[in-house]
Amino acid sequence: MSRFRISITRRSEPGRWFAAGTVCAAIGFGFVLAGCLFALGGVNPLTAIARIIMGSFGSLYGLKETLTKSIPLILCSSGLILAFRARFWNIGAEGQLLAGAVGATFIALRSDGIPGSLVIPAMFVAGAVCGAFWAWIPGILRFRLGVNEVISTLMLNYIIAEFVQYLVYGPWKGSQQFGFPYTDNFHADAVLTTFPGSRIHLVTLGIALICAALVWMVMHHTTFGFSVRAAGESSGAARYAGIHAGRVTVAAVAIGGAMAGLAGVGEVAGIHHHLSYPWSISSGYGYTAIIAAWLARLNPLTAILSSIFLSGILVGGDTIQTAMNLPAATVNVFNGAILFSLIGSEFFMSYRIRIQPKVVP
Amino acid sequence: MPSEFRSLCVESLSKSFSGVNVVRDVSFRIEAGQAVGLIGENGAGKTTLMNCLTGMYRPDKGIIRINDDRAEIRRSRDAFAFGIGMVHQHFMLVPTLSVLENIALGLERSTVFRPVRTLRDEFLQLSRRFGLDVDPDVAAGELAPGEQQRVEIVRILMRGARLLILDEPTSVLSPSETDSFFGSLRRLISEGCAVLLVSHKLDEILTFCSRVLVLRHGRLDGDFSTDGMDMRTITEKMIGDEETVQGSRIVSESGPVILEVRDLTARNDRGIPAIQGITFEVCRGEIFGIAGISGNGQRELAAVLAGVREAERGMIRFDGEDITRVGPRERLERGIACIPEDRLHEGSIGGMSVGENAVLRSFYRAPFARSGWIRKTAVRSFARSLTERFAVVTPSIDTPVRWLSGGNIQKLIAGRELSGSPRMVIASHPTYGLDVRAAEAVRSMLLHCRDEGGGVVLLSEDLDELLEISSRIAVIFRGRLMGIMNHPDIDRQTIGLWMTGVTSSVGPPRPTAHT
Repeated sequence: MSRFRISITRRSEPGRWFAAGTVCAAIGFGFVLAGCLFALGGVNPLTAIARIIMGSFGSLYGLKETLTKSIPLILCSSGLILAFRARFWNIGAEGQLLAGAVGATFIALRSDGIPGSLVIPAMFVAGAVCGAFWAWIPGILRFRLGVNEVISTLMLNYIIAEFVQYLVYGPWKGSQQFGFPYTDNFHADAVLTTFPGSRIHLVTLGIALICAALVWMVMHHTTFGFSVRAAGESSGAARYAGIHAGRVTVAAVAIGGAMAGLAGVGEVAGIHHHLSYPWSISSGYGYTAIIAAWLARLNPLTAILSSIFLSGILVGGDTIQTAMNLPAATVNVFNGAILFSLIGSEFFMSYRIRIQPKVVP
Repeated sequence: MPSEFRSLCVESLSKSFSGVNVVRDVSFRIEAGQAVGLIGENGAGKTTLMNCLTGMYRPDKGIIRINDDRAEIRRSRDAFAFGIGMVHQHFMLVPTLSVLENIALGLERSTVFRPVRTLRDEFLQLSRRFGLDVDPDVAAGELAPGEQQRVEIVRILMRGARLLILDEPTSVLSPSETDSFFGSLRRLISEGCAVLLVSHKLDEILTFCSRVLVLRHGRLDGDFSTDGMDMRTITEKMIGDEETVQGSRIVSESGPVILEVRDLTARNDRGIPAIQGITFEVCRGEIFGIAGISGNGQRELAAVLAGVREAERGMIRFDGEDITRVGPRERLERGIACIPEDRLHEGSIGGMSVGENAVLRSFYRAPFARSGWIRKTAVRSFARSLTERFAVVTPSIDTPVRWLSGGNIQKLIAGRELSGSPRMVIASHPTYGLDVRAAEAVRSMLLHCRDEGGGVVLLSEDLDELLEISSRIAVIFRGRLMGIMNHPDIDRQTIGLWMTGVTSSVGPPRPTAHT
């Protein structure tokens, strides 16, 4: 018989500092876990982790890359928070991002008739509309026909990905791309300015930060945000309150989709300057953003930080892959270890664990 | 029946949650063959005490003795091993499984393959012996609440319970079911079981229990014999030496008709007709009671009146205007408030704060919002005055409603609905599950609204409450009104008969137009 008793009890809402501390501890644990895995693979874990940190946050180049990749994450996670607050499990930010990229490309490839200064705004509008439309479909399917949104949003990701491939191999295939499945490079009017010496497309970064702040404002200070939260928390009570849960939720989801669409505009106009394979336009930003949103406990301002952090993980993973000549899967293993311990830490936020000596009868 | 249970003895039991002493130094004793009542206001610690006895919580301090030997109850399985079993207010049966399959669940001796086979005889024998008959092969979800309760009781008996803890067991029963239920309990007691009955229905405690334990603020405030006690004395014991329940408070004069319901028909969520051809009128300054056993269409009627469920046929006229197709928000704006039956899922939003719930139905308009922006200061000051005026106990107005007790949530909802001096109130079971004081607070809010000239439709299962304040009472049975009675000719027996679908010998029920 052991002489200690472990008791697990539910705790009330964790305090801000406790939550932050738990997250930091979890990240630390994740590094240890990843270190063990590196050691098993015959790599010095300290070197590997040092490289990751240097590659993401510890060097100017890494920092710039991290910030670049955080832009789509901030946009997608802010949009997802709108949907998640309405209890609409949108797994389709990835597809909505691609839809935005398609919309922006459409404008960019036909920018001849548009005054130069209006091309970029038109691209953002088109991207937002396409992203919103791609999110509106599963919203309306759920409330008109009762289709489970997890499945429909996920499936729509594949549909739009195939559609992008069709475009770049077919009608939109560029004439100056030496047979690669890319559209022609965008005209200079359709390309976003970047911070000198980096790939940070400043306009999109600004839009992303504004979007995150807007989502926060809308959630806490507007009747629309009130309706979204009420509809999400309790459709029955919302109905008594005269809130059309369906309408409000679809609107929130569509607005969220528009933000993902903006992210897609940023990727094609700021990074690639053409549309290409779906997996090169977005390296899973729409999925990573789900984690960023939850890691931020659905607070869009915190989501800025969690997006930057997760972006650093992505960049750091890429660094060791190239710098230490490790297989591509190592990145996934490393990311997995960090996320695994982060998700595991949720348990410690919700439950109190006490180890007490047994009472001797 | 094995007679290993002789007594339960609780000595100085205490339990606290995050520094709040919920149960403090409680000691009592129950012997086999006894029926003991446990009463107390909401939040007095009854649930926590029971959870300590059944192994859901571990007490911080104190000793539990079974048959005078110390018992360590760590989980519910231990409780059963010591002969303690509990039937919760909300049943814990899996609706898609049959009765026997539900019994087999969690029964340690059920076999891996065909677990049900070995249990059938025992189940039938036990249920017959105690008058708890239920078809063992029907899916639990298809059973009436009274039948589900019987299954729950047989289930804990088969798991070895000899001390039965019953939490508000009669809240789901019709009067006749209640009688047979207590008959079964008496048989169980005569065979050496003990019963700890937790109830707000003090008359049941008086007639059924030999002793009553009174919990107040977590302390055991009394352990009385019920001999020679009457409703007044037991009520006083429960609420202390403060105000007692008032008597009949009906006013007979009332104003012109404000609500007119004609031939109202609607379906429930499963598409089955739930109310069929309901017709009545409510006047200004009157409380119109609708009695009936739950599940006879009250829920749907209230929803149609509130505007959250569509009427298939018929008409609702409010203040002379047809509002049958008007939505809930506009009905509220016209002056129809409503206290929904389900306070946790319809009346309030657990994850939102007290302040937000205080404006749940009016957040979109002045003074709480201006052109789409919520004005937090207006919301906060309104919420603060609401909680003060209606004595809602909450740590702060930013606390999520989920942390409040049922009584305080209900006071918040009632306060929100009634603070705008509505001209009409649709109240469904507004005092259900509340302690005497909270129930009285809600009731006097309804009376106040009536005295201000508002009409009230009060749907309730609590006949005493209806009789106390309604000037007319209708009885609903299987979606139809069996009849309407006017004060002072309201006859309790006839209402009881109508509730079970029996038309009285006095004559066929006829819809009584108000004159």
